[in-house]
Amino acid sequence: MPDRTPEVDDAAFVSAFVERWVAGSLDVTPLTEAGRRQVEASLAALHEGLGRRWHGNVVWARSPQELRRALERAPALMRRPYLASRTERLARLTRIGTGLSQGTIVLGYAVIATMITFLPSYYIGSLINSLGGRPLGPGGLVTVVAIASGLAGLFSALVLSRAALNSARQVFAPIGDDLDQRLRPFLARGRTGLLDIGDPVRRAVAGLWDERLLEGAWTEGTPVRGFHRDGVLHDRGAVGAAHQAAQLEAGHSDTDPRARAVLAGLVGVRRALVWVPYAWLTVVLEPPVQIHTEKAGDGVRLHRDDGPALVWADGQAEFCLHGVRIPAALAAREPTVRELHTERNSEVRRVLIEREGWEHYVTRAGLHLVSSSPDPGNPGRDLRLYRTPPRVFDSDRLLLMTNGSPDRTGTLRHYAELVPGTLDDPVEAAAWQYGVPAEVYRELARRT
Amino acid sequence: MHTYGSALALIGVSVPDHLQAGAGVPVLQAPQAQGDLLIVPVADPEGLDRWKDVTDEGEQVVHGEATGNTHWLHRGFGSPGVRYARPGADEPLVACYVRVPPGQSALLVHTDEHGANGIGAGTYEIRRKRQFVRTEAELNTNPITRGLTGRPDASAWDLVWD
Repeated sequence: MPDRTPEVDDAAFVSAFVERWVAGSLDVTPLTEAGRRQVEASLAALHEGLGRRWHGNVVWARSPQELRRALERAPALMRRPYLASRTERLARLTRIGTGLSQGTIVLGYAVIATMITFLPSYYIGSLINSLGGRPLGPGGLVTVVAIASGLAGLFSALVLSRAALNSARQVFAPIGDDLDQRLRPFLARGRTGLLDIGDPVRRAVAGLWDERLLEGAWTEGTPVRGFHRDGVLHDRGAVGAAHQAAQLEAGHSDTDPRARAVLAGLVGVRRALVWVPYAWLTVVLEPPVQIHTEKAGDGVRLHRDDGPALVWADGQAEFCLHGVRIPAALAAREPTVRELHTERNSEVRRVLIEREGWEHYVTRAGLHLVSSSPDPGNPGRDLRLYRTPPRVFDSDRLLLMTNGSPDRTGTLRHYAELVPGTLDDPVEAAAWQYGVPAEVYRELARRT
Repeated sequence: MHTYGSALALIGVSVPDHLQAGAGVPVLQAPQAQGDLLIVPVADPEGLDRWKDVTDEGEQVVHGEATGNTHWLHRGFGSPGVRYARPGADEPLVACYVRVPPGQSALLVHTDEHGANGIGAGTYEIRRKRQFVRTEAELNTNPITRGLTGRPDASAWDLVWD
């Protein structure tokens, strides 16, 4: 039986719902104490609905840098309210203190083990003494006792440390993958219709989430996975809760109370931004203070010309141009040619050059003009072929072109694209882009 | 003859401020370019039997997911015989083929800045642009030699050029 109603098929309902959902993804309402309790309750409902015990331990991070720090030192999180204590110096002192006290405990047990071994080893030594027939000197007996006691002490220290590590392993087993697997059947329910609201939502928000957030997370082998407002961090195609929520809104409430609880949990936890589940602890990233985006085609992407696109509660700022994250040092001013050329990421380099315009860059960097010729079909405009500086771009040739029509702001846009290094004729280079012979491109009658 | 106003009305888009609504759209048989698309007259492609009529709604030739803009194929005035076909996988640069019977015309209309182009009688392929991608051999995947030859590890020394 199809699980759809006319309402969910209605294009107006879909577009309104997608718009509302995306607005929710970009929501920057700061979390109050009540909000945090609500997120915790949602996480509890989600865990229990998916058949895992809810541990009740949540660590709040105000920014990606706090989240990264928390994840890198995940085992330290359990010892005390980690992120609440502040200065780095204090944190280091506490860490040294904790290390010393734990070391003392292990050492203490090792000493006790040594003492317990002492007497039996003394008797074993005497036994060897009497049974061997050749009496050991007093020095020999002491050596046997010392070796046996020392080995026992080392062994017990080893066992104790192993036990401590193993318990940490259990506490910090990342369960993101497991939760994701358990969640899938719930999110797949009733998705029989032609129209999947998850698709437009996925297209709209695909550019927002940065999977590098979890890089450097402490782990014992199992990959650390995190969830964001619309799905999971490591999989752009993952199904989020949008479709199910739309079904619910259209009056298709799932009859299974467990499915309803899971869905309510997923929707409730959207008040936070990102959450990373471990077996006995969940690290939650709170929403930023500001998000600046632009519409790009079917989706939204992070973008701001005149400042950080993301501002976080602890003051961290992140800069983005047209969805590409750029280093803060290069964001505030025009980067020098040297900085542009040493930038390793070609996307970063491209958006930075395009911010000032390709023509500006070509002049400033003093690129060598290989050849220039009138653009057929684009009267008054030239095609210009430049040699690129070595080892900066993927190719030795850059073709500078001019649009046939002005854009919405009324300006004729110049733009540049890489072409194979073997080409020396700009018309040939332009023809190569369309995969036609140069003669065909020369006959171009009109360009719009 | 179609004007920008009448052509863009076909796809339900108002004429952008910088384009003149009254400007005529010339119907041409020579190659034309519309942004990243090139309209090239060709000999009838052989073995292509998937020709379809262009409907009143038009046909979406290319939809840019990143920009949200679309190039639409429409019939011109009194041109019921305009047909189109999609190429096989062996022609990745061809977005579609268009066949315009004698005396008729077709229109390629863009939803944003590129306006409209009129296409006269003949068979055409509408080609898209390709990006330059370095081949594997040039990528030099061996990290040791990559370190020696530079890219993508550009160092300050590499900047001493020309």
